[in-house]
Amino acid sequence: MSGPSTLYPKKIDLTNCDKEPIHLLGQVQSHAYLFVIDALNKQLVRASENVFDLLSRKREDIHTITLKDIFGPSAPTIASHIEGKNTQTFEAEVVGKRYVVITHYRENLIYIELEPIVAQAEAHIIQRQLSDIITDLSQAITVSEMCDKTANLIKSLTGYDRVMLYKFDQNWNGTIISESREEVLESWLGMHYPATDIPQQARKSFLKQGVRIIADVASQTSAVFPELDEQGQPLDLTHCESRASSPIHIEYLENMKVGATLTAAIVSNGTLWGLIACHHYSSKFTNYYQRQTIKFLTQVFSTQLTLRSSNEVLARINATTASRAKLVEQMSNEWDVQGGLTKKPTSMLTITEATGGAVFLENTLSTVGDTPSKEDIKNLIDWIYTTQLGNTYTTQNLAKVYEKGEAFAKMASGVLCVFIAKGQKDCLLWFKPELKQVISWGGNPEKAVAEKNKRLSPRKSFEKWNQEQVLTSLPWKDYEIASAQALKTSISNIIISRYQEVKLLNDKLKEAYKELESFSYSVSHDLRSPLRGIDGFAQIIKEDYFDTLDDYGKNAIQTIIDSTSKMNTLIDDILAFSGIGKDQTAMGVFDMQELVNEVVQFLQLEKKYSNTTIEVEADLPKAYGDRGMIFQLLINLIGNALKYSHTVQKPSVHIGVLKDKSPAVYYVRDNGIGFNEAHKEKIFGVFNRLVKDEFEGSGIGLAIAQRVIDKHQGVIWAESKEHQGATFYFQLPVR
Amino acid sequence: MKGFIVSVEDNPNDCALVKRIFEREMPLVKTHIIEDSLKALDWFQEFNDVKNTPDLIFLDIKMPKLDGLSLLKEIRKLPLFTNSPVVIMSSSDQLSDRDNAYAYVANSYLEKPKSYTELKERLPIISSYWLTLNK
Repeated sequence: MSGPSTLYPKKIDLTNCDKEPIHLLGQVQSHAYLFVIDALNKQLVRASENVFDLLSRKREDIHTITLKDIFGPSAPTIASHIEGKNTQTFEAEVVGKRYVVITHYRENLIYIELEPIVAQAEAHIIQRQLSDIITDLSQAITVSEMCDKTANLIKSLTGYDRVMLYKFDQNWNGTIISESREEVLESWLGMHYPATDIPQQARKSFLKQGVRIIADVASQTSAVFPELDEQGQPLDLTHCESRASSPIHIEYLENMKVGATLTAAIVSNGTLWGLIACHHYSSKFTNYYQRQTIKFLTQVFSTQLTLRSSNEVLARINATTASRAKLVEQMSNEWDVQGGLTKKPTSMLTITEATGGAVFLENTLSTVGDTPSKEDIKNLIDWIYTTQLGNTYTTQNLAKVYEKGEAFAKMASGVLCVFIAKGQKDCLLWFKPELKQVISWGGNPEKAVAEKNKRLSPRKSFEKWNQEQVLTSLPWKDYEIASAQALKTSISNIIISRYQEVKLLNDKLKEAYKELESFSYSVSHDLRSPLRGIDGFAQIIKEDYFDTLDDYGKNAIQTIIDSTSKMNTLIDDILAFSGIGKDQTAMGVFDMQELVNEVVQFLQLEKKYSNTTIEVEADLPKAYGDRGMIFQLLINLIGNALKYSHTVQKPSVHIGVLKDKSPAVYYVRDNGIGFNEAHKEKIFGVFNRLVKDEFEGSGIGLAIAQRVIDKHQGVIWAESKEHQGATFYFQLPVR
Repeated sequence: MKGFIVSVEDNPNDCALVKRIFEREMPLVKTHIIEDSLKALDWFQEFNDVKNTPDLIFLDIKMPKLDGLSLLKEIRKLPLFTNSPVVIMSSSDQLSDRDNAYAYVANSYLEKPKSYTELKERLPIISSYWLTLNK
């Protein structure tokens, strides 16, 4: 026989159900009758086997059966009623009995189904039921409350032994989240069912046809006659209310000892959110009107659900808004995004339910709470950055997709990562720990395959089967992702405004610096004139009245003259210092050897430092820079070396180069008093003198040296030990 | 050495010092020191003693009412002073000041020494040079 079994795929695995052509099975449930009429010639072309008994006609005569044979005198009215309409539902009498008639068109065929009327539904009762549904569901505050109310409502509306609300996860595994049942039944609340229990094409057909029943699992179904049409095709029963279920499903139900079912789809935002599944432990027919009521209920539920979940998300986002505002305040107050997110009591953790957080910004990583090591986080960021698309990545079982993740799965099985800007690795990360939890499956989902007549046979055991779930965290909720993204937006705003502020500040500083330089330049000059006056008149007194003064007076005049001289030196240095601030530099290659010799000559060694031996290495390499500025630099370095060594026994100054370095490192070394290494940064500051007054100086010399080096983008540093001399090194970049 | 030197200098201290240096170091030279640049302009404009024109003029560059270079420009307009030797004195070491001085047809430029001692050395040297040249 070329029955439905030929349509079954031969290979058997867990996905087998997916291939079962459930809409082409050619069977109708025994409570209903199916007529299929050719829309063009109004001839009966196919019918369920039980139709022939009902009409007392022979199968062979199928083409002679007319609408009049079915509906009697009302046939013409009915014919015009269903003509050209997609679906119609009405009541009519067939062979002395009233039925609900459901018709629909499909590819030039009119399908007519008859369903028995069990009890007349009173219009006012239905009205009340509908209004109860709306009131009850809209009064529920949370989604779970709404689910409970729905289960109870359906139980009372239909009287099934067990009414379950079944919610799909992203892998189409289901969990019973709500249940209303007869007390004698054990609870299945919280049970998980593998995705294979409701195969893909069944889920698809749920989307098309909201409510389906199996009135009697045990009853014989009625086959469609003829099974195949002239083209050899089976009848497409997709939209038939009374279409029989797949043998696999029937077997599944029989294994569960279920006698009748009702299933209704809950659709949210166009996808199947869950199911209302009703089980009865004996046969049970739920008539068309009741089914419509249930359909209405699921529609109200779906609408409320969409509303509710967006409200819940909004509410959670609002709750985190205060924390986010606080974070933004912390970040902007101290211009410290990382610190603001991780170092304060209100950290980035407060806007999600995560237990660890990390910020990666400008190549630095800060963390808060329980996180993997910084090294691990950086590798993880690299991995997400290179393998994942979009600016947000979430997972609740990192170790399953990222091998290295297993090592730190304990604190970071869940990862939420939001990149701050496109094309950069700067990002925010949140971590959730592994939550080992026991999942109760409705039977062992992995043992669903059992060979029987070479096709899939569903499992027989529905004993609660516990499985420990590992390497998995709690899921990331919509509000967590939304508030993480909102935080990211705030951060990019802060970064942008910080950048602008810094730029503005920088410009202002440059301006102020310039002004300060020209100010100090002109002030220094203006000081010259009064100083010359002091010096001049002191000199006049010295020249003309010196003899008339006593020793104290003579001493005082000399002190004035000496002080003005010191003051002049200071002004010289300040002028040199501010002069170096000027923008124009005359860069070029110059002969360092020649320049050092000039400086040594300029410093008038024989006059002031006749005891000091000075050595200049031969063949100092040429350098690139502003010769005038480097002259200033050398004056200060060599001048210092002379000054701070002349008090020792055999003062010596050595000027040389470290030849193995590139660019060349020049140095000036003395055997003088040296300085404490602890101050080696400080000595390059303005007026930071480490020595006492026995050494003359303005305290600007090394600041000038530093300034010259900065202008050249070079490096200067010093090495010394107290009383063991000092060496100053400097390096000028090559052109 | 004889001669007639006019110096325009707004700083009274500097005036006193300059005056003293000339008196002490070049006692035979006649000096006229004007402490105000506007008054100096009047003096030059009213000057008509053709036989006794100054042999050397010192002008300070930085003066509040009329700066030395503007004063020089006005002086050069007067026929009597078109060719008089003028030394611009400045306490600035900026090259632009020196270049400006020559652009305004000064004959020499002297950066004011920092100390009285140096001033005492240089003033007579530069004066003798121009006075000798003028003879």
